[in-house]
Amino acid sequence: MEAWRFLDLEEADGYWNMAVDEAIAKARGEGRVPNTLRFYMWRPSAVIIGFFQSVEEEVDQEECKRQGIDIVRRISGGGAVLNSSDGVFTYTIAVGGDDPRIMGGIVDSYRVLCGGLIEGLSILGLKGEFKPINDIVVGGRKISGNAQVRKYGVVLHHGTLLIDFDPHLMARVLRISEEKLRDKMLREAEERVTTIRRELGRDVSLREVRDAMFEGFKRALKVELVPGRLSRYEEELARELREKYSSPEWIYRR
Amino acid sequence: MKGVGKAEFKVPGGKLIRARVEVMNGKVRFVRFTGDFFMTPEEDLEELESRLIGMEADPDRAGEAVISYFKAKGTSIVGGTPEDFAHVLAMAIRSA
Repeated sequence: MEAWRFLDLEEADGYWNMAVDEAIAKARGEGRVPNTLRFYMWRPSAVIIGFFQSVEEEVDQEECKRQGIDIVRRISGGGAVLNSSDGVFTYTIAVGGDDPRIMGGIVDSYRVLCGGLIEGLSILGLKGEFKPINDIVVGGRKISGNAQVRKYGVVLHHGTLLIDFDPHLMARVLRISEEKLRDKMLREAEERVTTIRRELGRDVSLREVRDAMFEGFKRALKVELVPGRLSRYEEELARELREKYSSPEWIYRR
Repeated sequence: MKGVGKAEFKVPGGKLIRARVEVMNGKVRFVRFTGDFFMTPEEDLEELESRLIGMEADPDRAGEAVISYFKAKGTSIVGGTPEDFAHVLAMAIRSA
């Protein structure tokens, strides 16, 4: 069976997390490392905006400062999310651009790579469904948002999985656009979004989520996941890239 | 004569696209598109924005310039079309 590198759950700040993602993509593109699956958490919590979004339009910066929440811009497109340090599990896949799994078009590649989370959710007893373009829903409510960027000849795919969620905090730190609200018929975040805890109706440990997702990706992608670590090259690259991700020029570039 | 125009459009079944434009003496002085769409290669958006600077601030012509840029480049956009970007820019120019 095809072997992928697996980087197990670690916790770091958002600038480091995004620097590591880009470092892995670059190293993968240069053929220095194998296809990789990575699990990680965010501390402190961060609002993370898509590459084409503007901080001013999406984020209440004063509220973030008050709450000690970082503002991070990622390299991929898509929308703003709040990655709270206890409630959001995140993962990254870096796969070669010529991999048959991602050759069927962009939305199809989301469907395939999101398959790991859907399989993992089923292990937990939940029925997740892929909702194009880039979401996973349970019972019609969003539980996971995903984003991709094609760069360095690699598909870098990353996403969130909500374990727990504070709609009030989210509403305070994210600015919701009028147009978008109208489109979604003014439904409250509480009605549009769900979490693993809410769906299972019980407390769930991070370990349990991690184990289910590990197994889910293994099955869905039909790969062997070999525990590994960042190469020295990636570590050094990530240290350089962290400077970029934490710089005002990058954060406020749009 | 100077004005700032803003517009936003939620593509049905797609993403949100915003445009902010500055117009001076009938010419485009600044354009910025933002939103939760996906675009590959991502550099194309900045190149488009800089190419629009200096153009006559005419909603239709500016819109056409957006469409022909994306078509010529073959830019891949997910969550919207070149026409959607043209539409948002035209609205922003009209509001300036």
